[in-house]
Amino acid sequence: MIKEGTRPTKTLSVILNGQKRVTEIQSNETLLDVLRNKFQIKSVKAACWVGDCGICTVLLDEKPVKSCLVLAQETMNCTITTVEGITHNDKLTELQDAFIRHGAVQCGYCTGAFLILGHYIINQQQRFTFSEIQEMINGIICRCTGYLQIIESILEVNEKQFR
Amino acid sequence: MNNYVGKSVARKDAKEKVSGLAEYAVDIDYIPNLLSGKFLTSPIAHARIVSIDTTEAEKIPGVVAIVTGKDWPVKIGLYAGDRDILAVEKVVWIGQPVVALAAESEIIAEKALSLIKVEYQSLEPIFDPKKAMESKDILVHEKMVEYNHSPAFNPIPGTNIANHFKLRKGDIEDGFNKADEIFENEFSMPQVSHAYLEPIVSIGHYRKDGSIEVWSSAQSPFTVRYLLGITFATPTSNITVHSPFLGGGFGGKAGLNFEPLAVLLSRKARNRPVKLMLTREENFRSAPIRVGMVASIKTGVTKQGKITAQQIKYIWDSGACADYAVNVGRAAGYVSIGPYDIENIKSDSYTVYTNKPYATAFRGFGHLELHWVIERQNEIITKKLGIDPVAFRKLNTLKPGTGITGNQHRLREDAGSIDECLDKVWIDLSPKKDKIKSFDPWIFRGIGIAGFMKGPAQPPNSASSAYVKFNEDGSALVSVGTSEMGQGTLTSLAQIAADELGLPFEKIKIRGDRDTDRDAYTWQTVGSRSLFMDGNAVKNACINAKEQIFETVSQVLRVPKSDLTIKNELVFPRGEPWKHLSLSEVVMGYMYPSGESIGGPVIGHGTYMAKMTILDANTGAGNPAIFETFGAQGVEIELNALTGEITILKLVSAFDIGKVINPQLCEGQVIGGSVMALSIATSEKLQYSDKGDLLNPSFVDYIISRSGDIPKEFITHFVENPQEDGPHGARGIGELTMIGVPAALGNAISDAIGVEIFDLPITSEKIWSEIQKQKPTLISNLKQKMMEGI
Amino acid sequence: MKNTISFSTLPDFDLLTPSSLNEVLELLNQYKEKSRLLAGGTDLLIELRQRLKAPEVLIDLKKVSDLQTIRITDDELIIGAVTPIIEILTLPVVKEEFNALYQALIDLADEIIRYRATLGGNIGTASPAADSAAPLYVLDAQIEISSLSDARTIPITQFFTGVKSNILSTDEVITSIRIPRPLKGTKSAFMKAKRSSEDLAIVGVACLHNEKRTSLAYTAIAPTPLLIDITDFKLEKREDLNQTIFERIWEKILPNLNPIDDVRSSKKYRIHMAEIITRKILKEALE
Ligand SMILES: Cc1cc2nc3c(=O)[nH]c(=O)nc-3n(C[C@H](O)[C@H](O)[C@H](O)COP(=O)(O)OP(=O)(O)OC[C@H]3O[C@@H](n4cnc5c(N)ncnc54)[C@H](O)[C@@H]3O)c2cc1C
Ligand code: FES
Ligand code: FES
Repeated sequence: MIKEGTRPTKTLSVILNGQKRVTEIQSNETLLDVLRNKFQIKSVKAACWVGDCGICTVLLDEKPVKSCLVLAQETMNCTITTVEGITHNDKLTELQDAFIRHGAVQCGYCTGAFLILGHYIINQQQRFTFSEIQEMINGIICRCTGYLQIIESILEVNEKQFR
Repeated sequence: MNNYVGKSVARKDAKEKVSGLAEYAVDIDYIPNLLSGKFLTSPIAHARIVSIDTTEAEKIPGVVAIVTGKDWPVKIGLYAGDRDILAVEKVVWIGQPVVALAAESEIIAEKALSLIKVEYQSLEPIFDPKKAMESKDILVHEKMVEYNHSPAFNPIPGTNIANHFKLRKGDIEDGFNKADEIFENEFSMPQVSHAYLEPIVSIGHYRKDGSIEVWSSAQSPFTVRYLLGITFATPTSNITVHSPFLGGGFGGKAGLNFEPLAVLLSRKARNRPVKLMLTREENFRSAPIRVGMVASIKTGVTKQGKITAQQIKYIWDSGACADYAVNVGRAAGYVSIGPYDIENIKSDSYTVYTNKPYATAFRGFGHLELHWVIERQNEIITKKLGIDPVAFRKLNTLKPGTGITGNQHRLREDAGSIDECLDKVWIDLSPKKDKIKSFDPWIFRGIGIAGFMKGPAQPPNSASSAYVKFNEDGSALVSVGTSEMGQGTLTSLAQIAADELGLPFEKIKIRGDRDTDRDAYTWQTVGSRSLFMDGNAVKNACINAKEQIFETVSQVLRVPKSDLTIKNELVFPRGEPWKHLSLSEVVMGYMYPSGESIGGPVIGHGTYMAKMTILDANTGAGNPAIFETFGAQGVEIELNALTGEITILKLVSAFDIGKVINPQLCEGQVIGGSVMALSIATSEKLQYSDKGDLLNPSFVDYIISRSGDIPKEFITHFVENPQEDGPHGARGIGELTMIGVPAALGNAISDAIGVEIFDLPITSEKIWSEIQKQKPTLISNLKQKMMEGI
Repeated sequence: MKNTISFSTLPDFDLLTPSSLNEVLELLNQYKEKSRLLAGGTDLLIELRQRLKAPEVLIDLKKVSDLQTIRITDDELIIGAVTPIIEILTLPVVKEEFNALYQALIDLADEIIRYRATLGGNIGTASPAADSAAPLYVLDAQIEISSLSDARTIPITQFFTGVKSNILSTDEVITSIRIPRPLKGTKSAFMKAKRSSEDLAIVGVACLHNEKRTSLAYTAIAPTPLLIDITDFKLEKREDLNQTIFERIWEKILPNLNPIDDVRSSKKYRIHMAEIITRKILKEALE
């Protein structure tokens, strides 16, 4: 859906999931709008548009952000990573596999956000405890799973790194 | 031959979901010429619409269509047709859609909306359900008697009562006379939000030929199709409803919601499709929510703990429209005494209109609320009588052969056992443990338990169907009408089909999206009915497909059909596996070496009808449900008496679900459902101003549980007393996982500090204020201790 | 009458991205009340979406590296206004010497938000519930402010002027927050009461205690944060604090508290929680 306002457009260039992508944007478009509407990145969802639910989380220059609170223009020449960028040809990451094995997915609406944040947590190459992970994912809401399986999935992959 | 049933196979849709491929209604934007829809809502809770001026909005370039209530003044609703698509004569809650428009973009739509002027003439509103029930002069719906409603309901003309359900048995006064002690209390629960994460989305396309196509985040697409047919006076065959994956539903996407508005906008926009997507705030204000409840209960008990009489009045606050809420009142009405066998019952369940957002189904459907009442009351009774809480319950629980709806319908012998569930939970709560184990004297420990039951609330004629269609390579597609909103039923159905057909699980396809033209019919995806109903339909479809396969194979192998069996994709006479044909040789028809061919492509079909009766209008007698699932839940808590804060140390659940088809999915339901229930029990409440304006329509102000709020430990038991007519003996579980939690928590608080909570949610502030009321000196003593302490 | 539209878009504006402080000041001077400063955006973008503000231009501060430095000198900790909260937390000295600030920032919003949210933005919004305010009050923080024509440094206690209003004029920007290094042996702490694991404060309380002074500060309990000095009570060790003394301390504090009833909490519970946390935090400071 078109969200843009009436100001002149600007050209946005980003490295999205490893690929250079270019599109015309307006100043009032958020990163969330542009990812979903211009780049057709549909794993990034939204549920509140005001930073509360965390469902729109992506990695911006390798750090997690809630994309509804980022203006698209601010991401000029940045790198952006979403679930689309970590899945290739049917080959799941260990974390995706753990999500499936632990039953961390129900309706799936929050899954992209937890996976990308989990991906970030694991990439830190640091060993975390159950309660640290619990705290790190507290910015994302899941209404279905009760979180336990999500925490266990991230924890399992994190622990494997140190075996 | 259970290769899959009983095992934790991975969800059918898991890969799609973890790779970001699963499509939800919100993702659909590829329909050509799609417009953005948006609506203006009422700022007043109760008012007459004097005028609507859209002239300025019409001038905005990019505005394609504007509609008001007068464009299509048809009332909509599943059980009671009491809702305007857009308010016609008057508005009845703050947030009610009044004017809608379709424009080339969202920003244009929003700009144009802000130019529309609506003039209202205020009317006296009514918010308190108790007052609304008595009121004769302030009526939310003066024309209630003119509305269409299902004959199962009983509105009272000239009042705000949309339904009155009665349950009567024995002689209530006699029952109280036989009692040694009488307990009278009032309990309540506020309206809450489903807070599913995917907002409501409806795309409507009214095509030039008069046919209607809809894409919607609807959990009951067939109901949407049927009701759209009525709304637009067109045959069902003219309508197609697609419902993709749902980002949660929990009942909030049952029934008919914004689909008619999207279709209406498309009709006015010269047949261009229109997408309506609610913001979170709109979802809170304009979309349906959960009923509120106030209840008064009077219980007569003997000294030994036998309940002799139960008298209850439930008032269900349905908000401004009671469409679905009348059925909540009815379902809670026939189960109103909970899982107990009581001689004398007088129970009244009223669904009442108020000028607040309207209510619909919500996981637990009246049962979460009624068990809050019953199980809290039981705790208060056992404490006073000094009886063990589990012993007290078991003395009164329903047993096979005793009956539901007040023993007026006998419970089947294989109905399952609540007593086993209670025992399992109680053992894990280790009631003999020391109560105060903490270092700080203001920290108290407590345990609480609650038993419960629930069956699906559906009409007696609700049906399910399924078909199984084979492919050339012997793989198969299973089609059902049930929607996938996270609960995982489709995976369990595929497990049932794989075992029934002797196919590997990977060779069964079951799509996650629903299409009313393509898929087999089911009534609705509600009430934990799907596994039972659709599971039986799938099983029957597989049997039917096998019949067709055996017919062909018996001719080829010249053996009686009844001797044949399928295993590992091979069909052979029992005991003679070497004489086999492979499925792929038969499912598209069998060709003899000569070229002569028999049989043909196999499509099996199966159905399942609920076997129930209409309930008696005066007593409630009859068979209300195809099964009842029994369960018990308990919590162990730590309570800080100075702040009112609680920590859940342990949450224990046990359910008699007959047969566990997929342990991991069941466990997932339990953890997810109990965390949702804890969230509701401890923090969720829609708060209104004295003008009826919702004060917390966001996730900052309306708190729902996050990962940091979950219990420290979960223990789950499944009891498997199979029900003969369930698929593999199974009963439903989805909603059950919530029901006992609030009462168990209330009971644990009572156990910890002897303070009784009557109203949900049990926030820290609530606990603190009750401690102050009920134990006026406790806090000041503890404060003193705090200063003395080590 | 209230707004009856819930917006899913942001309004129109132009985004300007200066790369030096001077450019920022010039732009501010040019646009004044037609502009808003954009730091992490975790408050501002929400207000824009709700149409509470309608600036013509947003001036993004994130490309100005001078505003994002964080330094410790012999005398003070200097935090650039646009430093993301997560970065402040990673500096060991913050936890070691400015514990109250550390505890407030680690409990501010959630980890994802903390990557974006800045300290300058938290103060700039001037919410009565701003978590960083109470620790900055007890730690005697100074706010450095610049405009094209002037630069000034004011104590944080003068910064807040009311609910969501502050002392800044339309051409000013906060450049840094300077916090003097506390005396050796200083203990400071922060605690907030909240409804669940992630919530804005029902009430926030900070405490600082050393041989020279004992101070308390409160947020979410009056239109602006409050600083209350209780050095007079001569609390030196744990035994100096008992029920009677505490009651006298509380008598001094209570008249300053002026909370509201809202969806998060009633007035009464806010005051009760302020009292309980004050007891706990004071007790711990003296132990
Ligand atoms: C989900 C969520 C949870 C939150 N939880 C908390 C919480 O627990 N506690 C809490 O205190 N806050 C909380 N917040 C609010 C917010 O995150 C903080 O206030 C944050 O510190 C704001 O910083 P920012 O950089 O994002 O500010 P911005 O939104 O960029 O700016 C905020 C305001 O300050 C002005 N401003 C910014 N920088 C400057 C400057 N250098 N000079 C002058 N003015 C400036 C802006 O013009 C604007 O008016 C929460 C927000 C969200 C979305
Ligand atoms: S949509 Fe971005 S946080 Fe909710
Ligand atoms: S799986 Fe549904 S919201 Fe998380």
